[in-house]
Amino acid sequence: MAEIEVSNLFKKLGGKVVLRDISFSIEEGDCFCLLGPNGAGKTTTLRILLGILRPDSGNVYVKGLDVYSHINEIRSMIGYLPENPFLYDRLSIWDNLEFYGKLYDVSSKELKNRINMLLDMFELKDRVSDKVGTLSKGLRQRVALIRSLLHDPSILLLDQPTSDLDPVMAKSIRDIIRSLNKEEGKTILVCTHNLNEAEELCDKAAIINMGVLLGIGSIADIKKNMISEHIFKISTLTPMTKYINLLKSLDYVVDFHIIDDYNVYVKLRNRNDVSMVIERLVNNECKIFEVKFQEPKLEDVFIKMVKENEVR
Amino acid sequence: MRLDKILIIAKKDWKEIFSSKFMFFSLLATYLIPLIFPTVLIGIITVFQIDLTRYVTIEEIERLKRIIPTAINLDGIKLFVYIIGVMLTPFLFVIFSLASTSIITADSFAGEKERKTIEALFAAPITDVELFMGKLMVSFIPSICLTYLFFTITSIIINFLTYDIFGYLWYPTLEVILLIGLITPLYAFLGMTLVIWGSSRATSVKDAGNYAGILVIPVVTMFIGVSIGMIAINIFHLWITILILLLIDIIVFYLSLKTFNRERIIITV
Repeated sequence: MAEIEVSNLFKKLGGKVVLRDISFSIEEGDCFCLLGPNGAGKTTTLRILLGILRPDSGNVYVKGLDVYSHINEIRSMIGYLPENPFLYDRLSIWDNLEFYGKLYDVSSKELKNRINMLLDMFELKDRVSDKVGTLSKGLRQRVALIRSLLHDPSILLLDQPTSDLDPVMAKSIRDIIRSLNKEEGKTILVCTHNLNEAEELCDKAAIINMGVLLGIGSIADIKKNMISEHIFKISTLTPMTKYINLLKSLDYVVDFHIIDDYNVYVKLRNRNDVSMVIERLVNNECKIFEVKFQEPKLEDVFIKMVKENEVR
Repeated sequence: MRLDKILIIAKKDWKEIFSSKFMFFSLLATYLIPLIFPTVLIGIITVFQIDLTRYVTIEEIERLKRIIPTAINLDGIKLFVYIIGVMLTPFLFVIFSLASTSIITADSFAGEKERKTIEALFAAPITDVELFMGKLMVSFIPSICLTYLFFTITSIIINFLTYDIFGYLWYPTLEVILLIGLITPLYAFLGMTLVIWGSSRATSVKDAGNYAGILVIPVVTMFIGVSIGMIAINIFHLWITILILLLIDIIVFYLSLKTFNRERIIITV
């Protein structure tokens, strides 16, 4: 049984369709990424999972329970980090955390221990009585992450967890998320438009744009299935300018780009065609120094998918 | 519905509201008006021995006595003081208590929306009733406590100023007790419910507060009605008013809860 199961979600907001037939499932202990540009429908999906919004049609199950008939039971199992921390600026860190802990039914004694333990883990212990309004964006994000962990949920829904953070702070938040997934075994759903973050944190992803799911699977599979052209970097000891006409004449070379005299990118339709390119170059007295396959970037896949979806 | 969750929400809001000095002092200032205005007026009447019968006609006096039947045997200074104590003071408390509940409720609910903290609250395991009741309690308890506190102070001052004239502690009368003790909280409750209902539609604290503003109209209308002799302040009329208000409170509360919609609130944040 999947930990989170979403099937055929449709949702209209303000007369505009924001989700069209969204289906995905997340297994226990997975770190799953919902990847898409702004306005893709990521936050709406999270809000539906939390029962804040109701889908026009479709089903949402968390741990086998229907979200709408077990709404508070499900909310108790989920830790939610919204895109912005949304904390009470006029209250201290402790007061903010204590309030949410109590709402999530954590007993007073346990709550005190949890807050102290998490403040320690997030290096915020000496700021505990500071008003949240005085904290930097990064520190607020940490407090919000602590808030989502107070009741020790088995599922975490994180909406753009590192948006607007400086690289150092973003890295520290990503390290924490990774350890929550790998060491504590929490099931995590991360919504982001940050491709590096998705690759770094998640094993599986769904690409969403304009409310439509464009692709789903492991990040490696998505890359493999979506990139039909294969790029190789060929480095030579003889100047490549001599071989421009030869490369142009080869049918299986889709395109090429001379980087400098001794380096060229060659785009092929099939990966195996690289041997024929090398053979032809060697037969024409080209001394090849190195041939390197260029791993497709998730960014390329993402941009390609989003563009294709927008054209359609 | 769990009372502990209602209290958790209310306690958090109290901490938040009263951490703002501006909020705290503006709330206190609201209650100073119904305290100062009648007591100063009564002070002037007693110090300068202003006899109402010297300034109005006998017909006017008779009309006033019909409005407040318990004033039938009063004349001169006593009648003037009695009219201010029984007619003016409770109406001021009703209006200013409504104003204070509107300030707190708007800050508590529309404020959550304006500061966008409502999203994390909506994601927590609380029901709509618990959230609604929690937010009602936030303003209801301090407003009613302050109303009773300031009214007690006002009563002490009025009795102190008029003891020589009446010869006994005459204030508050039963009519005033009904007005302050029951009508004021029922009216404040109605205002709060309307503000919460309005908060889900409003985009700012200021907009939300305006929803209770419409309630000032019936109070002022009632005051004018009393002043021109259309409505008499007697126990029977007051009990009828209390029952009607209670009914309206229940209906408005039920409808507000029924139409409370997290989705509408979250998409307008």
